[in-house]
Amino acid sequence: MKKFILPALFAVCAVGQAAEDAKLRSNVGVGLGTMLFEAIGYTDTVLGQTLAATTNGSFSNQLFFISTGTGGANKVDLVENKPLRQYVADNLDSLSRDMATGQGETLAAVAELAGIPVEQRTAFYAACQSRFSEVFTSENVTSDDVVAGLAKLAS
Amino acid sequence: MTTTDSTIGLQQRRLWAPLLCLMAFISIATTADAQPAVTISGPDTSAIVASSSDLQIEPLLAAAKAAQLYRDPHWLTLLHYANGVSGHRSLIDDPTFFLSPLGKRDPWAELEATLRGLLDGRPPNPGADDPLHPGLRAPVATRYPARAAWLCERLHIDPSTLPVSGAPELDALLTKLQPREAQLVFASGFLNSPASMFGHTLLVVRGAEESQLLAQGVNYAAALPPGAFDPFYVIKGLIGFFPGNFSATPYHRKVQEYSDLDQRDLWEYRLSFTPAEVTTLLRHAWEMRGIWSDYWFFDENCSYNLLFLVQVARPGLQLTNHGGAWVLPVDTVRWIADAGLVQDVAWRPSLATRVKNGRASLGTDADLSVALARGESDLAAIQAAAPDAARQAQIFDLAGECLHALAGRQAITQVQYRSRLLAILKARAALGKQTATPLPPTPTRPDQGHSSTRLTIGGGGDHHDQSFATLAIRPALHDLLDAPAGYLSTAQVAMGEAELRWREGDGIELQQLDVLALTALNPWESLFRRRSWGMVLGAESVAMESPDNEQLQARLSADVGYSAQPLDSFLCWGMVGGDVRGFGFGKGWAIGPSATAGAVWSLPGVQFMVDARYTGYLLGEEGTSRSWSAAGRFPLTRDLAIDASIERRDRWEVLATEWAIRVMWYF
Repeated sequence: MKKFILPALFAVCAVGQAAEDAKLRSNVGVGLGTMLFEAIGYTDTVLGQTLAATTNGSFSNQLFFISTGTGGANKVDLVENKPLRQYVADNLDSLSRDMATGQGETLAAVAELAGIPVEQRTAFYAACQSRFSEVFTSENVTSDDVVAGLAKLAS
Repeated sequence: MTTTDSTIGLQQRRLWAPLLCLMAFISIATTADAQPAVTISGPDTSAIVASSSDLQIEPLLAAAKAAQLYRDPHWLTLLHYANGVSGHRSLIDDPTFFLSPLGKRDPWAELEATLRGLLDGRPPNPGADDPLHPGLRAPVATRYPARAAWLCERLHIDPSTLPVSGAPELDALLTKLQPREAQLVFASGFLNSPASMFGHTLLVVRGAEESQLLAQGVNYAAALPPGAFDPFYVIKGLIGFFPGNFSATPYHRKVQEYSDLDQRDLWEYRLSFTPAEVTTLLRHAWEMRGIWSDYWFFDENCSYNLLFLVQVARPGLQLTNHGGAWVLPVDTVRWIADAGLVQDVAWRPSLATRVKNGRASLGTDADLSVALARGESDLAAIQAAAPDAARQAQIFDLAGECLHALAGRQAITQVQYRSRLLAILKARAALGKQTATPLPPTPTRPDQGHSSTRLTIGGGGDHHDQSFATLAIRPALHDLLDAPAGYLSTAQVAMGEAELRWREGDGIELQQLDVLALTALNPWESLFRRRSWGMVLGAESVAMESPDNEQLQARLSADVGYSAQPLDSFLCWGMVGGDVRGFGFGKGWAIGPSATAGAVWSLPGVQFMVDARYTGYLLGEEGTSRSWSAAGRFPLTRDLAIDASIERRDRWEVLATEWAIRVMWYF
């Protein structure tokens, strides 16, 4: 009883919670942003995600504008392209799905950050799909591995 | 909505505010009245054009005072001023935001301090860097670029003649961002997360990047101290105990958070701001770095604070004067739409919505996707069952999303997730480019659903042929019978509903007061396994042991259970829980377990609901309570509906049957 009444009472009202983004997510593996879940204390309680889950909070710290920015990078420099690496680390799961289907918003954002010229994007997307296994070589692939794989596809 | 309309609306709401004990705490310090626009009709200031070398503070101050710049709505917006019962004051509680110690209440003092600081050029707060307040040690022109730009324009000061002009860091950022467009993003309400029951808004600034996901999100939220859970945080959040502040986050992270984790659809309202206006907005956002104000859940909340940024972008907008005892996120969207700021709207369905759509459109083949995601089937089974490559691709696509959903609620391990995902995606990639499953039609926009506050007038009778008249008001927001367009059809969020009844001989009595009545129906199914729950906190009039012995009972009940949605239009549920009551009769209290069941059936133009409830009060004033009811509601227009209901109750040995017809007006 206590287990659900308490959350229900708290459900009356609460505040948005800003979880601390202690570590920059850099080189992560596939896993649906495991760190994302940890960062916001995601739990499956009796009421689904209730108290611990943040909603209106943000992952950022209080500093303004840590911009992803646009890369516009030289293709060979993709591995050094920090905004791209950060984005891929943040979105590895969506990116893997987009690459398998050869289209999607996350893949388009990667192409943009990687500085792939618009006229070459269709070919890039097709390559991502047809050579999917060369980028996602195993289930233990990390985001930096994926960036390195993308650099090969783009070159 | 014109200013006049909103003023009336506010007055009506304020009449009821004292009834809401939750809000009583809050309304003390709230903003209220619509403030008439302040027009500037001072002497022409163009005569005072500062020359490049000799900027004199006194003539500029005299000119500013004569022109009453300190009363200009734009200046007041830059300082986040609002009218409250405690007077004219800024909502910012961080003392470092003000250059004058009087700045929170005296806009002239702040203007004078700002102008003196601009002409002086030296940092007003020398000292070591404060990591929480990035701009604190900087000169005024660098720290307050929006204030500086506006004062220079209005006082005809050439910024280049100031000892310090501009904010190089900000200018570099603006050069990089090239802001061109702003959006207001509304995240639908989500009852399972208490902070989210009314929804949430954030701003998104688009710049040089093409992809919406790479845009910059600007958010206002309460900052909870990291670490241990604080059992009082709910209360603290209500009464302004936590600091709230603005922060910027890449939009793709907000999309992950709302759309993928919380299963909330996002609505992107593109605002009709020019690039210059968006730049002004960002200049002001820059001024707000690290600045905190007390977060009040009901009024000084995320959505209300964002309005200041929007209002700064285009002088003349009057958005923040809508504030009242409470501000609902969807109402701020309406105010922005009413101000003519919305250019177009895009809908971003959540993962849950996409999965639901995929399952509906694939029919029985969707079971293959679910089985694959759950590890109960293999790739060969799908290749055998669906020989068509296009169909296979859609099954794999859906399986990938189902897998995402399963991992999201941690129903499978990371190891299972990774190995299944890779297998599915490799099979999918091998099929080459295929047509994606089309998205469902865009539902009704949240701001185009029925209005937030509801007034009910009606009449009815009971089994003794005694008739009654009824009048009720509900400040917010939606129940299961209200027209579902624009709302979550599976959730009820009713706050502060009060019902008065008149009976011949009895006069007017308070029949019911629901401080808060919440219901979250989460259909239990193979991918999204969430329990349903409901709670009511309030009071109702109940006859105990004799029909004449009417008692106003305080009540708190909470239930948890399951619901099912066999058809899109049909939702049913069963729950068990507990019920506590306090009253001025017998032992004065009663407590016991309860069980409830019900169903809602939505047809075009009408909703029906039946429900039944049993409570056995085992402790305190013993007794039982059985009731069932049936109701139909017929929306006539967006903001008008007719409701017919019948209810039978057997409580503390008093039997009553009652019917009523009501007219409901939403405003």
